Amino acid sequence: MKISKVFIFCFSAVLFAGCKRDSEEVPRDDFDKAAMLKNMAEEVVQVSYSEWESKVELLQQKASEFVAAPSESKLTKMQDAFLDAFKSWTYCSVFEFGPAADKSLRLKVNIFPIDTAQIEINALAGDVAFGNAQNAESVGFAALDYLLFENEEELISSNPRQAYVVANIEWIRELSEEVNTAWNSYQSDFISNTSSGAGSPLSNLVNEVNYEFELFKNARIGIPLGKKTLGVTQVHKLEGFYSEHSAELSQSNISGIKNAFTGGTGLGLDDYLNDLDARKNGGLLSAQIKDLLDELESDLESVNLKYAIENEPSKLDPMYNRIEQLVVLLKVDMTSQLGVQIIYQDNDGD
Amino acid sequence: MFVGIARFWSKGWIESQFIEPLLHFKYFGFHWLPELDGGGFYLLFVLMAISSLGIVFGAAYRISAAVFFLSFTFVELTDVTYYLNHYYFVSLVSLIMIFLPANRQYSLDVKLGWVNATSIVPAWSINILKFQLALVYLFAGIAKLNADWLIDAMPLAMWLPAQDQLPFIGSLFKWEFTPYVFSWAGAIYDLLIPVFLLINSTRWLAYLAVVIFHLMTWSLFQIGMFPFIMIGATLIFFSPASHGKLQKTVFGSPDLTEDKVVRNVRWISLPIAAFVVFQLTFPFRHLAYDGNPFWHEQGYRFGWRVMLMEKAGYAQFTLRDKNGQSIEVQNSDFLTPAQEKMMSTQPDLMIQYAQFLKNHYNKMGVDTKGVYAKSHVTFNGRGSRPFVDSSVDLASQSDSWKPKTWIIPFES
Repeated sequence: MKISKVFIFCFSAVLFAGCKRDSEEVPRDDFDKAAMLKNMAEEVVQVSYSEWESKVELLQQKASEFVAAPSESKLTKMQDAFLDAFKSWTYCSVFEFGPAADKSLRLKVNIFPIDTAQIEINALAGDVAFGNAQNAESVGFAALDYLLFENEEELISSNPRQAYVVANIEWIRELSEEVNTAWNSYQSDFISNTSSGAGSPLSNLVNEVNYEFELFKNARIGIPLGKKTLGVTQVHKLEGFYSEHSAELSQSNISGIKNAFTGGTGLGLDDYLNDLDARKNGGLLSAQIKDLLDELESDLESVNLKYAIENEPSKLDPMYNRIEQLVVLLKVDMTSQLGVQIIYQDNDGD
Repeated sequence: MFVGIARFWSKGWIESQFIEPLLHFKYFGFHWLPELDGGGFYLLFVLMAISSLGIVFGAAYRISAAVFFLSFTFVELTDVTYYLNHYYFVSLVSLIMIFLPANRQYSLDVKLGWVNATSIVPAWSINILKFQLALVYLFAGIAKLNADWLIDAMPLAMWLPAQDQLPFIGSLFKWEFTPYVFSWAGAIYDLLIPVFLLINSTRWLAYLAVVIFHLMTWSLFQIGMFPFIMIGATLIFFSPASHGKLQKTVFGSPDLTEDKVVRNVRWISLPIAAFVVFQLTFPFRHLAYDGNPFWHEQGYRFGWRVMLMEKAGYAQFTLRDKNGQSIEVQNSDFLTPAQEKMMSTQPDLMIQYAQFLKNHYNKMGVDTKGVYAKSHVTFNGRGSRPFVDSSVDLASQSDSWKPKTWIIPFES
């Protein structure tokens, strides 16, 4: 009968094609996606959020010590604790999925550049409606950056200003506690879904690594460098402009992204890519991505962004080239190899 | 279709796809279509929904079919971003249906006395649907006859492992040969199934294969309504006797007819011939261009190349002014993620985007010299590589049938 003939033909064609490739039929290294997600959830995300929460608590402690007896030395201690907490945040900022996404954490806790006029108004009042869209650019870490470093005498002497600082810190602390706690219960959801469609943990992770890196490229480096403004630099738009630790914040941000990619010392996207034998120009894709991230980390180690942008912006060109290369590897090669779409919605097919 | 429309609406896609975007990528030759506002789109969707029901129930059938065809096609012509082969299929079928006497049995039109019931229709009215369906499968199969698909099992070799969490078949995906089985089976299925559907003795088995095939692709890939549309549409291959039996069981006895045959309009043969010739030749227009059609995508659309390649890209646009200064464009300022994804791998959309950007920044007072793109594209697992000549001002290019010389030739 015709069907059986066709079936035999198909079956043999298939066997032939399959055998052509490999002499032994063994499975690929059966990459354990669930184990990778477990490592990400427990060792990377949860650990980072816990650290962030405790750093914010430390900041809060220093802040109350300062307010109790305002002085330059107490202010300095508070500033140090602030920078620690701020860096810890930029490290965590990449995990904008699950509880963080539900709270739109990234849009709340560190919007920059800030609206300094609005901050001054709020500082006179001593408080503000946090979470309100109008006040989005006058709260959070970037606002604290301004308040703690821009006008130190004012801060030491003004009560409402101090109250505003304290209110901001408490707001951030609450959010950090909520997210940290929520992750405890979210973990099982995260680990149990190993698909890669839109909305899956893997898709979210890949999308956020990309999104965070593009934020780094544009908001942290590109815009201050004048890339969107005909070469006219916008140094005041730097993250951490007032504390003048922009490079450290960016470096921490890159470390966080790297961690999200490598999974720390455990399984991560890099291992997944290696299992798929993802390559570009012959070399392993994961290695190329990691190398560029390492190079960016060291670029940021030795630079003062504010100074560079104000005086010798072209010195940042090599770093910017690396950034551009890395965007392509992350957004094009990595997503394609992992079968993940950079789209935030389901779609109707092809 | 009614279900499809309801699903589309309930997911908020009318807003996100048609109303919210700042700009739409127009189809070649259709730039003259008017821009609609929000209310206009919702109206169109309402029309689509109502007319689709009109088709189902055979009420004011021809008008319903025409309204559906026009409203659906208009919506789909709004933005190239959302081009799908199966939307094209729906447009074609609804166009065909306007001319079919599909309301002569089991329809409200007959019940209301608007048309006479008949039991015999001209052969072409059924054959044209069989032709259209067979064509889709055949061309989808022909499209799979390429080295990536058959020799490297791409893109399935990338897509299937990503689905290894599925029950039963998921565990198959860790084996190297599985994508080959799926690739070859898919190609053979596409090419042979129309034949087996046409032959009486194999029809039932073939239909079973159709159902299995579409259910499997539905579970493997995010492709919405398409599998179900195909499962339903393929029923056209069954004989009148089989259909009659089914309809009697579900809907009761057919309407009394005076046994009139539907008049066969003589002039219909010319349009049918033109339609058939077009359908057979249009998918091959990519042969007129040098290079790899997967790469340059000239003549790629409207060719039934369903789920054929994995392609991703990133395009960094830079606007240069007459003083040598530049603005780096942040695509997310202007395009939705879906638009950005499509634009970065389709050169004709890059031209439209470049022209939009030039316009936009000119209005803001920039003295634009040109718009340039540094873009990288990967397809079917190859490492990403530069896509277009970054020294060419894309805003001054025009989209036409002529080959686009500024696409960097693909080297394997």
